[in-house]
Amino acid sequence: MIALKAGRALVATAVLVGMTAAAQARCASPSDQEAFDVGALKSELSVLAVACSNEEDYNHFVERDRSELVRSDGVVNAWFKKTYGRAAQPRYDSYITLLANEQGLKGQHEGSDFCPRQKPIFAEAAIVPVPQLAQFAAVKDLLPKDMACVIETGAEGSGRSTPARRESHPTATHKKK
Amino acid sequence: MHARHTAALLFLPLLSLTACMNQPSAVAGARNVTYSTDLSGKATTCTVPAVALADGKDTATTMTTSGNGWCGIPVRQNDQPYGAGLLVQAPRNGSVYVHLVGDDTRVDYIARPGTTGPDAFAVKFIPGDAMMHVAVINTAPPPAVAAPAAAPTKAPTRATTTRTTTTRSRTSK
Repeated sequence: MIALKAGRALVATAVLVGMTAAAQARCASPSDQEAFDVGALKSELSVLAVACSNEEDYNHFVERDRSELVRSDGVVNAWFKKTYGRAAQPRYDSYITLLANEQGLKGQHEGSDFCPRQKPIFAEAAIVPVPQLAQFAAVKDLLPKDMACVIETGAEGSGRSTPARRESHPTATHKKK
Repeated sequence: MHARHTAALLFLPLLSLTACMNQPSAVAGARNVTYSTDLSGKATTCTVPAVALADGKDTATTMTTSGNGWCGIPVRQNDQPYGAGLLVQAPRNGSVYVHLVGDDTRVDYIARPGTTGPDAFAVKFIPGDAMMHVAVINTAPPPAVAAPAAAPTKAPTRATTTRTTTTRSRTSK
């Protein structure tokens, strides 16, 4: 019965989601957005560490900012659990892989400039106070557009998705035609 | 972690290949290199006054942009780029990118496609905690300039040759 009511509520908001989807690029909750931003920062630095042989810088970052990274990871995981229930883990894994892929693709476009151009981010992250890591991540253009709090409506890995409606419950879904 | 590293590793050979294909695009001339990636994609209209920030102080400025690319504000601390930028107020209709461009810290605002009207954001810089509040006006991008019509061309003429014919007259015996 609860599931039925929830389903009706989701359908009821579906039209509104469709109308507002084009304007949405951030999570409904600022704390969710911050957590996604920090996760994207960790992913970006991980890609850089592998592609540009910056493992030592990456390890320093992880050690120094461990508390904030763990906290943000917990928030992102909680969002996936709230949104996908039992399918949360594979959805989360898919999201992490897609994010790294997108960030790696950016490197392709920059060619040989990629590593020297991106390397300063490690030095920048190193002077940011740990509690302000999310504010730093928010200005580094790390999340490909509409990846934060995006709800996958298709099969896992199908790439079909819709951004979460800003004002509504983040589990609102919209079936794409 | 494993999935992420696997994905990243897939791109290593691609990056290597790309490095061979692309000529270095860095534009030298300052203490720090300016990469051509940071110079391309600017909005058609991007009007920002010169901004001088001070440690611990709040500075308000404006930006007018056509929203079809980034619009950037270069800032410095004692003639050097800042250590890092922190987002204090997110824009409602776009994103902010703070990064090193040559000897400047440049604060780019990128409007969401189709955005017109006002927006605002604020960034704090460290070290020193200088704050910058930016009031943005997004204007519609200028109409695309139509390519001039191709001038009509004459059909090519075939080369002519002149033949000389000689007629012989028959004489009867």
